[in-house]
Amino acid sequence: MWERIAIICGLVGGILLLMRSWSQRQLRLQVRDLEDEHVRDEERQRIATDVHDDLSADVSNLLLLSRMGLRNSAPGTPGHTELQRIEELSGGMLRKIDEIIWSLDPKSDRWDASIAFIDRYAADLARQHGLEFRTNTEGVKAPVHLSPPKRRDLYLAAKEVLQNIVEHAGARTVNLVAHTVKGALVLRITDDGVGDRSSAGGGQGLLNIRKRIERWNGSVRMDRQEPLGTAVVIALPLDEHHPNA
Amino acid sequence: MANGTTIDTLLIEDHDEYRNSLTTLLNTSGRFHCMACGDAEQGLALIAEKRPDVVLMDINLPGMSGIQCTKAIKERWPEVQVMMCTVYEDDDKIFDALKAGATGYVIKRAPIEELFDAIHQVHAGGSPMSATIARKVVGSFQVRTEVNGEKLSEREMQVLDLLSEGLRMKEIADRLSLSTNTVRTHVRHIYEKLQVQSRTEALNKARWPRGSA
Repeated sequence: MWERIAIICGLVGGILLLMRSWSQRQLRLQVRDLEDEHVRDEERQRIATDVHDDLSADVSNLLLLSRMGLRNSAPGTPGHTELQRIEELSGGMLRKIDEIIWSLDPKSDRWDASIAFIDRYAADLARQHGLEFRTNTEGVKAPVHLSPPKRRDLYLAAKEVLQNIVEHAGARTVNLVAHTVKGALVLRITDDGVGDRSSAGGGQGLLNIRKRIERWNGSVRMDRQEPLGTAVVIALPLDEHHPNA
Repeated sequence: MANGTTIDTLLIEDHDEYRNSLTTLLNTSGRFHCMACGDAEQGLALIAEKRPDVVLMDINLPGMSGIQCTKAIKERWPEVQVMMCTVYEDDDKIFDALKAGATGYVIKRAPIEELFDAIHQVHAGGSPMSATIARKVVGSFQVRTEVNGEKLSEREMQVLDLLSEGLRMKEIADRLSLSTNTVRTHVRHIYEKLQVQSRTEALNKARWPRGSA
């Protein structure tokens, strides 16, 4: 009898000890994960700052110099075409540096930074092509997290939609509406163009967009609008709440 | 004032090459007279001596930051207009600069004519505002209506709402049947109230360090 009780007590005690050491191990692992993440974030921040301070200042200067040169040279004169190319290339470089910094900077992990980045790209593109651009992101509410690869895909998908519009739609206005519903971020990009983007040129683009979004169990829909234009609706599931967000 | 005469500008920018290029550009345009220096401390000394009309301010400076320098300028010389000059539209920093008293900002990659126009606008009492910044301003006023800071008038709220939808000043003017200049004045007032509000906030924090507002 006493033996049995002793054995049971021993077993229960042993199990309790095991559970305790297991939970402590879990806690240690969690702490280490958080520390790793912190170190990673700091490193990402440092690289972003370096790229910003060193590289983009020089390229901004290059862009400005090429424009100053262009102001002083008439079209057709020697060097004018080359200056134009330098202007285009350095402008493109700034855009690419911008994207690198955005994907490195830990602050961009917040959804509002992602939406703001897409918003800014759309506004720039619309201005370059003389389109009217409207945006409404008031419906984005919850403070949720988008992982770096996910927000990169969201950005690249939105970029492709917008490029399709300026290249194929013959549109005059572009609208960007973003909101959150039941754990998903919904991005609705509409235009008033006449071009049918489901075939010519838009076809391959749409495939790329789908690939990027469906990778994250999201969905892409393309609807014709009355009386004119097309609506592309991207829905992307959000990540769980981030501990540092 | 801006017509016929040149606008006295001071460029505070720590990147030597960029500072030299921009100074040359402004000085050869015939529309601006531009002085330049590489940090905020020298900048303040130059302003005390020369009183420029418009200061073009880089945000990231060695030593005193562009945002702190803006605050110092507006405290001592409220009539000097400060325009932020930045590589990227990093919302938080631009927003902080506006709260500190800057009345506009320009992106370094903006086309030359756009840069010139921006300086003229700021000098003439207007203030450009992008949709992203407008939304931040809306948010800022919504959060703190209970604090005894400045409130926006109904008209200013309308202008701000349309700005945050991405409409341009001219489109807003058409929509509200106002002149573009009137819309610009409204935007300038919104900026000023934002600054008053952030000062009130700072005062409240200083007076009640804990648990207030």
